[in-house]
Order: sequence, then structure tokens, then C-alpha cells
Amino acid sequence: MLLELKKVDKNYRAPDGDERIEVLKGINLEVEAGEGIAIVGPSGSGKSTLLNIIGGLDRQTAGKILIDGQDTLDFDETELASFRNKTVGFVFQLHHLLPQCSILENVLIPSIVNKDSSKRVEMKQRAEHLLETVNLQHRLTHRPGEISGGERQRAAVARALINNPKLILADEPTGSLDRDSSDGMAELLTDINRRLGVTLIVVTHATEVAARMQRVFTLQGGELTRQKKSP
Amino acid sequence: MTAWTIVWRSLRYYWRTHTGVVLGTAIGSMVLIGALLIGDSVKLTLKELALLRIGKIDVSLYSPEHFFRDELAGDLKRAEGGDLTVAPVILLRGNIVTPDRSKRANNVQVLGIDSQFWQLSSSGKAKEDLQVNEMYINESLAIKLGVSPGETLVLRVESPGFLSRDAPLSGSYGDAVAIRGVVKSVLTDTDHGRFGLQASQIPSNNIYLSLSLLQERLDLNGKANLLLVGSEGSHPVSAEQANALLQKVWQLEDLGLSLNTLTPDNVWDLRSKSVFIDPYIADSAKSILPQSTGVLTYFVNGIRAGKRETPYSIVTAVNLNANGVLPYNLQAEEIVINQWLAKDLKVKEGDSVELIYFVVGERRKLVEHSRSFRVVDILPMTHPGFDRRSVPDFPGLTDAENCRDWEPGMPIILGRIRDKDEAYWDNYRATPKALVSLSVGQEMWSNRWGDLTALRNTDPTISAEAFENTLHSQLAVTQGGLYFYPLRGETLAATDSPIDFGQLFIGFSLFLITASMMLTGLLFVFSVEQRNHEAGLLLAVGLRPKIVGRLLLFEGTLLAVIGSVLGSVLAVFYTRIVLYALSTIWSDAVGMGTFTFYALPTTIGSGIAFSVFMAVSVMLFTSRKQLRLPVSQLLAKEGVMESIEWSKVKLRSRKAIGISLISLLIVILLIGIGHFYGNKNEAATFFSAGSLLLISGIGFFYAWLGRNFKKAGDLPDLPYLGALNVGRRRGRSLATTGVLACGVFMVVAVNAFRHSSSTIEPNRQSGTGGFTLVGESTMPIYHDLNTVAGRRASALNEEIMKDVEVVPFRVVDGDDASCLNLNRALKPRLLGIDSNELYERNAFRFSSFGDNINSTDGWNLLKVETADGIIPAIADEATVVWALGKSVGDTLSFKDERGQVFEVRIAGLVAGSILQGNLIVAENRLIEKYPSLGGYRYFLIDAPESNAELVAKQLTQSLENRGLELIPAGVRLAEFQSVEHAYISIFQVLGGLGLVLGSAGLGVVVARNMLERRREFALLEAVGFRKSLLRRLVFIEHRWLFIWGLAIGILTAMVAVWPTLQSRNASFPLVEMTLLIFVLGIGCYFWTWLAAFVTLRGNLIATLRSE
Repeated sequence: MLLELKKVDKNYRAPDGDERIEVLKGINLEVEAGEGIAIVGPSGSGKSTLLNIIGGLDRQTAGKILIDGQDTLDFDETELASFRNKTVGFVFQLHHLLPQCSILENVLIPSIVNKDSSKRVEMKQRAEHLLETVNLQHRLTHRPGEISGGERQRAAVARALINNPKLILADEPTGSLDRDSSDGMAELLTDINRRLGVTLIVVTHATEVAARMQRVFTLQGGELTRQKKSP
Repeated sequence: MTAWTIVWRSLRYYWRTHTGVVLGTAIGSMVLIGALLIGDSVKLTLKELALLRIGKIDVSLYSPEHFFRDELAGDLKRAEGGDLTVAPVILLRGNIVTPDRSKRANNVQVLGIDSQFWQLSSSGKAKEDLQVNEMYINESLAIKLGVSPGETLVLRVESPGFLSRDAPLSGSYGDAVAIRGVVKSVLTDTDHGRFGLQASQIPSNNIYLSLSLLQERLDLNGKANLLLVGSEGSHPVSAEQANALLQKVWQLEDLGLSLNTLTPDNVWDLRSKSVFIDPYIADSAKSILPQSTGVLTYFVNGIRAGKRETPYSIVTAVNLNANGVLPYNLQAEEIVINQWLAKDLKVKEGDSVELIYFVVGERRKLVEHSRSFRVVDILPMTHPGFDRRSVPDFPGLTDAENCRDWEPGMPIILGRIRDKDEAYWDNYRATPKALVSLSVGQEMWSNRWGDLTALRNTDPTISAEAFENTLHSQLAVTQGGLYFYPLRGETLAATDSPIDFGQLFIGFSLFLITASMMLTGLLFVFSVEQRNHEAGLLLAVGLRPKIVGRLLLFEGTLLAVIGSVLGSVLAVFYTRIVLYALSTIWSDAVGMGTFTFYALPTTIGSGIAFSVFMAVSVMLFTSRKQLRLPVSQLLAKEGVMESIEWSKVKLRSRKAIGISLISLLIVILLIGIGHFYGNKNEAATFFSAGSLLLISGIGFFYAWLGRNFKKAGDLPDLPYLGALNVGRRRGRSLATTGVLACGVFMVVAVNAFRHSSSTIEPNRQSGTGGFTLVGESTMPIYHDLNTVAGRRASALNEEIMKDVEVVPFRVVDGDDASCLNLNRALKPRLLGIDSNELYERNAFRFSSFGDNINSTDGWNLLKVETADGIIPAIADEATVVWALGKSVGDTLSFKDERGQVFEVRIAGLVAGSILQGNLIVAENRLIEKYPSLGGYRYFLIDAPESNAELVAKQLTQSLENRGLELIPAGVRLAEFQSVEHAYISIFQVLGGLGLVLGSAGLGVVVARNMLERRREFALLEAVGFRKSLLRRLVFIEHRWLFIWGLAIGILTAMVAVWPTLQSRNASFPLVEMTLLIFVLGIGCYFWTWLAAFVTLRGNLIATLRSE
């Protein structure tokens, strides 16, 4: 078992008053290594929140999240950062590429954390390889502003893979792409999941993306329920 | 890929945003480093000028009233071994006029010099010897008189006396010697053109004549009163070394002493050129000559017996027995007379005679006293007791050929002198006519100069030579009044100005620096906000928050370094501009010509370091919240959404109103109490009231920001929408408006401290003390100008002078301790006054007194005698605080005429007065310490306002030869106040620049607000708002910030400057202030427009679809 969520709650205090908003209510989820799952649901249902909590970008109000049997609440700040760096790879709806850096440099950004300078060449080769994988080998020296939206998102996927993570968390990865690019992105993520064996959790509105995953969950009213896969 | 790569890439990619940050830092750094460089330049220019002033001189010996042998210079040089340069100089004060009397310079420093003097100049260049009719002048005098080489000048100096002109028998006074000469050349600063002993950056007006010429014309052959010593080696001479050498080589003549042989020939006596032997010297001599007897010879107005009277006679007081003159001593009421007198008065032994004589009373008044004696013996004219050689040289008396030529320094009625008196003078000269006992003589005639005119040796075993040798070894010459002063050390110490111009300009520029730093911070945080997602991403991919923070800090530090280095380059130009302004438009503040620009690497280095520190601190402070945001928020596609907690808004608004109301209440109480009890310091009250109103105004503004949210249900229009929006970022709005309001308040309200003309009206509590005229004379004025006799003697018109009262002050020259002197006044000028003169007038307003002092004592504080013997002094507040760097209760050390140290304690301060630059002590205490002082040189004059001009003209014309210069007291006060006004102007200019820069901050705030709400504006555009309408909305919204800011600032500042505005001839610079507010308003409008234009351009609607 790679990931296990046990009765995870997330509440927010309303800005005006004492009322608390319950975003996640007792979420339970188990994900095996190499599995690909999709989480769908209406806007504001807490999908991104759930993903952020799994990825260590946010903390749950209650419950446990175990990754490889380790409770993420036990991590201190440094361990949490290391967890985000080594174990998890993020793909956001907005690519969040640094406009000042080249595509190759953007992919290498997570490697900055690795202080072992002897691995620099190796990391660069890996970045080039990943960019080749996502079909961006001809864009290495380009800046994000010089390539298309789909290409930017593919670069973001390459960046998510640079540290060879066990888990890819993709938050609306096709949300800002046109249909063609969206299909390409869905294909790429599925391919990575299957070919590289990386566990994939995708939050999406796109049914065609969700359909490519082994399991699909719906988050509504703070509760997570598994959808029955249509034949 | 390393962290450095990200920083480097970011620096390049965000160069536009960074340019703003760099420029903000550069301006702050420029102003800060500029202020420090100004400080260095002022300090080092002062040092440069001070060193030019003293040249190569290490120590000096100045004995203004006592002249010594000029050969002492050679003796010192020989005693030291030849490595010293010693210049003998005569230093006096004089007046100069052009032959046509069209131009005049009073209080000129007259220097009689020889070739040694030039060796001690900075250049060390020898100058051509001056011929009899030649003189050098310095640049300052050449400019003042507008003369050039080849032109003729007439110099007037007082012929110095050996005895204080206050003393009876000091000879005639008022003798001014005129010396006509041609200007040979004008001396530059390096050729001793700046020479002077007083620490000041303002050169005195100097005229240089040949020493021998001055000696001859003043009847001072072979004499000097100043020795200047410089070492030709590398080691400067210390005052201790010079004093040790002086002790080896001094001679009796240097202290004005002489040994004279009397009849019988084995008797000799010690006398002083000053007539009266200094008590310290007399005591030393007595210790060597235990069997000696003192002699006091005096000139009496008459000796009377019944109706007969012998006028103007010499009487000697002596112990006859001890002296071996008679076998007995006289009792107190006994007198011995000579046969001539007995015959003249027709008296015999047992008859009574009366001595009539003058003694010096207060303020040089001669008071006639008399005393009766019984004649116990009548001796022949040849009796040794009546030896005319025992009579000291009374100037103007003993050297006169006949009685009608007498000028003894006291009034003589020539009509009283009979033919037989002339005959006596022809036959016996100054032979005493009577002898009384020494103790009675001392009782009658002793004074502050001494109680002996001779010390007669009666021990035949002690020769004059043996006595001289013993006295030389036993008497410390420094206590005889000759001592060296560490001129170089004290000069350099004095350049440590009590006003640190570096700090002063940092203070003045504080708002400018704050504004630039605010801009830096705003721009930086703006840049950080725009790149929130970048920080979020770095955190998301596993960089620890600390690392991300460091990356940001590193980037900011690099920007700060670039900005600070750029600022240091700009600072060079900025400093030069300010120094130029200080030499021109702000010259009132510094009272000097040009400054030399100095840029010390250490100053620039530390300035850069501090600028970087400031900028980085500001960046950290302003971006602190950004770095604490959760990653999810940093990455949120909507950006950071503001949250409004209504309950908190209400609470804070209520608190703000509470603070405002309390402030208002205090304002009302403050002004009310002041009005009811009669406010003495109206300016300070109104400034405080203005400050409180400022707090109140800002409080109301904050409440207003909160109040608008309650109207959420109203039908929206643009102004409403604007007012609603401005309350959304209340902290940001408050900061912008607060800074603007505070800035306007500071710049405008500082005018409250300008002195209005009302303070220089002639009322007793004003800075003029109610006096109409104030002035100084080059040479002392001896006559009492308040008496008919004094006025007549000074050729003053009684009609013009009838309602005029003159308050004279004794003067002991010292450093100018006014705000016009940038040097630290180590030895300020001392003025001596009869405190009753000011106490009875209740003149000047005291601002503070020492502890345990009754404030009602006022000027009577000067009379207080303390157990520790410290002399109390009163001084102007600015003098004590700024020029001396002292406060009430502090003491200053001075050396008296005998080289003894005495202390003066500051007992009280008078506020903003014409007395600036001096320490005022009681006259009697001053002349105790400086018995040689004669006459008065500083005057406050009470004259009817309507007559003031005529009185000034009458006095200056009649006392032209004494170099009397008078100006209206109000004008003198305005001169001192102009220093403060210049500082206020500097503050306002720099503060104004800060405000204009601060208004740019408004633009940044607008831009931040706009960019945060770009989607909101996109929506408005989507629903039909045109761009122009959106820009209007932005303007309407943000105009409230600067309207409130300006309104609060101006209104509260008006309260602060109300007293200034109300005065008849208000010095409030209304035009400049209006212009400043106008420029500021335009600036605010411009920045708001620019920010709206830049942020609202492009396709806004697209932001609704994508990032």
C-alpha cells in the first residue's frame, strides 16, 4: 500500500463569524503502488484541497495520511519539504513554470534541493530524457513564454518526474488546455503511470481523463465515494 | 541548475520591476551617504581651515595686556637648541578707514610681525620685509574694504598701557595712534591670511605691519605680547615643554618688574611697570626678602589743613622703622610731612591735616574719600624718607615736564595748580610730600591690582642680583601671567564641531530616506506578490520555506547592493550640490564660504553597508507576510483573496474614533488652558495641538474606511464604488494616507519654529531683552555714557542722549560661541555685567535654571557665591546647547590672567536672545580674575524706538575712534535666527523632496491594488465598462487616499503654524508651501494615473479565461 487516508477531515473557519465550513468529512482512501486514480466532483467540493493535503501542501484537521506506512503528520517542516521533493511530483492546472528560466532549467528546479553536485550531470541528462519523453527535446533552451500552453504543461509533467517520485498528484492538468492538448496530456499521464509504474492521482473535471484511470472517485459534500466504472 | 541560477535568471528577467527597487534603494543610499559625506566635508573643511589659521604653530603665548621682551623669542630658541621657530608678535585690535573715510572696518586684528612669522605659515614662504609705510592685509579685509594693493589705509589702535585703564594713575586713556600705510599685497590663506587665535571658520579681518614699526609707534620698543612657537622638527612642541623653556629664560622685565637703587645706595626696591605689584609676585618676593618692607605710593587730590589746601600731591605709605628711615613707626592717625608742605599749609607738629583722594568704585567710578591725620614730624626735603626715586613711574604723571602736562588718568582741575606747585614740581618732581603708615595706606588705596607699589629691601647682605636669581628660580613664570597655550591641540579639538553635520543631514533627510525605503519596500513586495506562484512552486517541489526565503533575500540583497553602490556614485553629485547650496542659498546656516568636498572610502563603505542593511530590512519587513502564506494560496489561480471580518472592522473603527476623540479633547484643553493662563510658548502649544490633531485626523480616516462597508446595500455609482473599494485594503490605504499626512504636516508645521517678528519687538521678555540697540567697540570705552560727564567727554549730544541708557559689559575675548561658529567653542567669550542692570529691567526670558535654583532670582543668579568658588554664568540657550554642547549645571574651565584655572558653572539659560555667543558672569567676579581689564566693549542700549536711528548715529560717530558699531537689536536677533531659519529651510526642502518621492509610493499602492483586482476589472470590462471609465474608477477610488492625506496634513499643520501666521509680518513662506502642496497634489494625481494606465492596459478580459 503506497497511500492510505484514514478518516481525514478538513475544516475552515468562515471569515465572518464563528461558523466552520467542513470541506472534507472522514475521507478514507487506499491507493496501491502503480495505481492510477481520478477524483472528480463539482467545483468547490474540495478536490484540490484533498490533493494538497495528500501532497503535503496543506494539513488535514483530523485523520491520518500514511505514505509507505509513514504518517505525514509526523513530518517536520524539513521532512515535509523532502517528502514533497522526493516522493511526490505535482502537476498543476497552471503550469507554474518560472518565466525567467529555460524549459530545461524549469525541469531541473526540484533537483536544486539535492546538494550532491556529482549528480548534476546525471540530473541534466535525466531532465533531457524526460523532456524527450514528453516530446519537448526541441524546446530545451526556450523560455515558457516562447512555447504553447500544451507544451508548458508537458514541461510541468517532466518537472514533476525529475526526482523519480512514487506519486504524481495532478490538479486539473488539462484544465487550461484546448481539446487536442488535453488529450495529449491525458495520454502522457496515463503512459507515465503505466510505463513508469508511478502512482497517479488526478483531480479533474474531464470525464475522458478520468475514464483513463483504474479507479474513479467522486468528492461531494465532503465525502469521497467510488464510482462504478462504466462497461 | 543551482539556486544561484534561479537568482541570476530572476535578476535578469524581472529587471523592470527590479529597476524600481534598485532606484528606491539608490535614492535612499544617495541621501544617506550624501549626508555622511556632507558631515565629512564640513568636518574636514573645518580642520583644513583651522590648520590654515594656525599654520605650523604648535603653541602660543598671548598676554594681551602685559608686554614682554621680544628677545624672549630668541632666548627660547637658543634654550631649546635651535630647532624651534619662535615669532614675536604684537597682537592688538584696531579700526581701519580709507583716507576718504568712505569705507571702514572695525575690530580688525592688528599684527606686528617679523620674518619669523612667515616661517610659521602653512606655506612657510618668506614674505618681503615691510617698509615703514607698508602693510599687508588678508583677503577678508580686502573684500570688506574693497581695497587692493597700492591703496592707502589708515589704522587706529589704542596705545596699550601697562596698567589697567580702570586703575587710578593709569595715565591718560583714549589714546589712539593712527598709522597710515599702503597695502603691499593681499595675503592668501596659506600665507597666514587666516591667522587668528580664536577657533572659528570665519576669518578675522587682519592687517599686518612690521613689528618694529608698531613697537616704535606705540612706544613699545623691544616689546611683544604674543609668541608663536612651531617646531622645525617632526615632533610638535607641547605647551608643557614650551613653559619649561620659558621658565629657564624669563627675566624680570618680562613680568614688567625692575630693581631700582635708592638712597642710601645699598637700599634697592622691586617695582612693577604696572605701578602696583601683582600680589602673587609680591608674596614670592617677600618670601625671599623677609626683612623687606612694602611701599605704597599714591597720588592724592589734595592735602588740607583747615582752609588751606595743597593740591595734587604724592603721598607714600611705608613702615618707616623697618625701612630705617625713622626710628619709629607711625600709628594709624599719624602723618609725617616735609617742610615744603608744612610751610604751604602752615602746620606744625600736632596739627591735623586731611588727605583727599580718589578710589575706584563700581563701574570705574572715581569716588573721592578723605582721612584725617595728626602731624607727628616735619622732616627736611633732603631726608631719605622723601626720596623721589622711590616713587613709581605713574604714566602721564612722573614723566611730565610740568604740572599742566599731567595726565594721570583721573580728572585734574588745572586751575587748582598754583605757581608754587609748579615750582615744587620743577625742583622736586614727584617727591612725596607726606608719609603715612603702610597699613593705613593699604586700607585707603589698595585695589584689585595690588596693595604695594614697591618692595623695598633693607637687608644689605642681599644684593639685587642675588635676589633676581632666587626669584627667577622660585617664581613660576606661568603664574605671573606668561604661559603657553596648546594652540594646535585646542584648534584641532575645536574642529570637533558640536553640530555633526552628518547626523544633522541624516535627521533632515529622514523623511526622504524613509520615503525612498518605503518605495523600495513597496516595489519589492509588489514584485514578490507578482511572483507568489514562483515561491509556491519552489515550496511545492520540495524547497524548504527557509531556502525559498533565502533565495528571495539573496535576490533582494543583490538589488540592495546594486542600488546602494549606484547611490554612492549619485551621492558624490548630491553632496556637491548640497555643499554648493550651503555656500550659497543656505549660507546663513554655516556662515562660511566654500566647502572642500571630501569622500572618505570608509564613509562610503559604511554608507553602502548601512544602505544595504536598511533596504534588506525593509524588504524583509514588507515581504514577511508573503513568505508566511500557505503554498496552496501562493499557487492559487485567483491569487490571494482578501478576507474581511466585519466584527473586527467595526471594533477597529470604534477604537479609531475613540483615539481621535481623546486627541481632540486634549487639543481643546491644551489651547484652552494656554488661552486662560496666558501662554508664554504659544508656538510649542500649537505645534503639540497640531500633532494631536494629526493623530485624530488619521484616526477618523481609518474609521471612515470602515464606515463605507456598511453601505453595501446602496445603489452603486462610481464615487460610491470608489469609496467602497478604498476601504478594502485598509492597512495599505491607512499607510499611504498616513505617510502623506505626516509628511505634509512635518514639512509645513516646522514653520511653527520660525521666529516671527513678534518675538523681536522690544519687550523685555523678547530675545532683544527690550533693548533697542546692541553693539561692540574695538577699543574699550572708559567713560560712563550714562552720566553727563561721560557723555560730555565722549562729545555726545545731551539732547539726543537724554532718554538713553547704556548697559555696558566687560569683555574677555574668547571663541565665538554663537550658532555662526561651526567650531566647538572651547573657551567662549566672557562678558561681565552688573547683574542689577538686567535684573531690574527683568530683561530676557529665562528658559531653564539649574537644580535648586529659585527661578525668580533671574539675573541675580550671577551674584550667588558658592562654597566651591565656581563662578555662576548665564548664557543663551542655543550657545550652551549647540555651540558648547553643554547644559545647565555644567562647568567650563578658563585660565585667568595669572594662568590659574577657574571654573564657570552655567546657572541659567535665556531663550533665543541677542546674547548668543557669550557666557555672562558678574562683572566683579570677572575683574577679580582679569584685573587688567579696562573699560567696556559690549553694549546694550535702551533708547526710545523712535529715536533709535539717531542715537545709533550719534554714538557711532562720537565714538568712531573707539570703533563702536551699533545695530538694532532686532536685526542682530534676526541674524541669529536666520541660522535656525536656514536649517528649517533645509529640512523643508529635503522633506519636500521626500514627500514628492513618497507620493510615488501612492502609485505603487494603486498598481498593487489594480493588479490584485485585475480579474475584477476584467469583469467590469466584460460587463460593459470602457477602459476610460475603469481608469476613472481607479482615480476616484484612490483620490480619497491623497485627498485625505493632504487635507489632514494641511489642516493640522495650519493649527501648528497658527501663531506664525497671525504675527504681523509673518515669516511663513506661504508661496513656497502652496507650491509644495500643489506639486504634491499633481504628483499624486500623476502616479495614480500612471499606475491605472499601466495596469489596465492590454486585454483584461483574457484574464478571465486564463492566467
